[in-house]
Amino acid sequence: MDIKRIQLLGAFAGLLLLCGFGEAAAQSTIKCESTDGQYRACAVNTTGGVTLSRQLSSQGCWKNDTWGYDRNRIWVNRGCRAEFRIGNSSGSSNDNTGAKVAGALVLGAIVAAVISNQNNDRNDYRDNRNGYYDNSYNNNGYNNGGYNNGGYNNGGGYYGNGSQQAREIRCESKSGRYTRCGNVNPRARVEIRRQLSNTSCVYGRSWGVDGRQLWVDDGCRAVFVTY
Amino acid sequence: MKPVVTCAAALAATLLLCAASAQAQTPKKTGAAAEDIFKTIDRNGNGCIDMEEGRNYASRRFHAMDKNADGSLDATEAPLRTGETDADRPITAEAWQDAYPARFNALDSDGNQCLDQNEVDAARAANIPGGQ
Repeated sequence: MDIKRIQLLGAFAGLLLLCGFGEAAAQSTIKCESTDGQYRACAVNTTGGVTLSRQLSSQGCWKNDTWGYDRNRIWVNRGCRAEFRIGNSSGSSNDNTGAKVAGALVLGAIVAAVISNQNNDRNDYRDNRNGYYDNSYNNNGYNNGGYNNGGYNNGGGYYGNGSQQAREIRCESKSGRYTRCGNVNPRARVEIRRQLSNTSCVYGRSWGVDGRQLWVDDGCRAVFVTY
Repeated sequence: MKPVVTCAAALAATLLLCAASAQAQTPKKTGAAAEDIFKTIDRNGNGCIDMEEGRNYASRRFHAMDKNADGSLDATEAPLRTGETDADRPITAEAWQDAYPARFNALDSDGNQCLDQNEVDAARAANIPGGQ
């Protein structure tokens, strides 16, 4: 009887320990993913600060634009998928798996003229998913629709029929005025390719897509890309 | 018989010429592409690539290379480079991302958390092994 009780106690203690570790691990990093381009909030206490530790999407993760946080949550939007570190950002990345990746590979064309072959580097806006957002790995093969040199073309995958091309639109809010810059496909992805203004362009606040209209406001000036 | 031989010789010569001219053009092309890439990555146009801009680039690059879209790069998608072994593949998205900050910091010689054209050029020069 006594032995059984001790065993039970031991098991219970073990369980507690496990829970404790589990919690500690869960608190150090959290994955938060905007799938299908939708806004997502991930409940977490952020008092220690938040840093993006691993970006998993090819869609942009831009702080205060497509991700951010307040006291109780991290939010992501517009296809940003990432892992975030909660608390002191100086924490060393605990595993060295990254060490085996040749650095030149990671930054590619920026640093290595030799491997700046056009296939990889001029088409970095093109990924290989069939969906609009690369949240799932369910595509049915590589969309070999041919490379174009615009750097954004997606090789005919995103729209199923390959009819849609990447397009750049310059849109500028002058003197802080609300400005509309023409039609975009409401289902297309729109990203800032290059911000021209000093005032930052924040999605939903100083730029956005309203129905089919791309608009800017509050002095946001940028070249957008839709694809 | 003779005309055939001359014809073949002419053809060979033409091919050689084409190959030679193609090779001569390569460096120019690469340079232009590299400059374009810098501008594309520098999203806020301030003349240098910060940690976030570089990370977005690295991430787009990963997905562009991941041709079968299975979330990691195998040896066909990212061929082994000198000094690498089979154990270095596949590369997961996580490993890729973990390698990024260290790489960025290594290039950021003045430590201002932004890679300017000089730092990029220095890195590129250091990266060119031997020929080419």
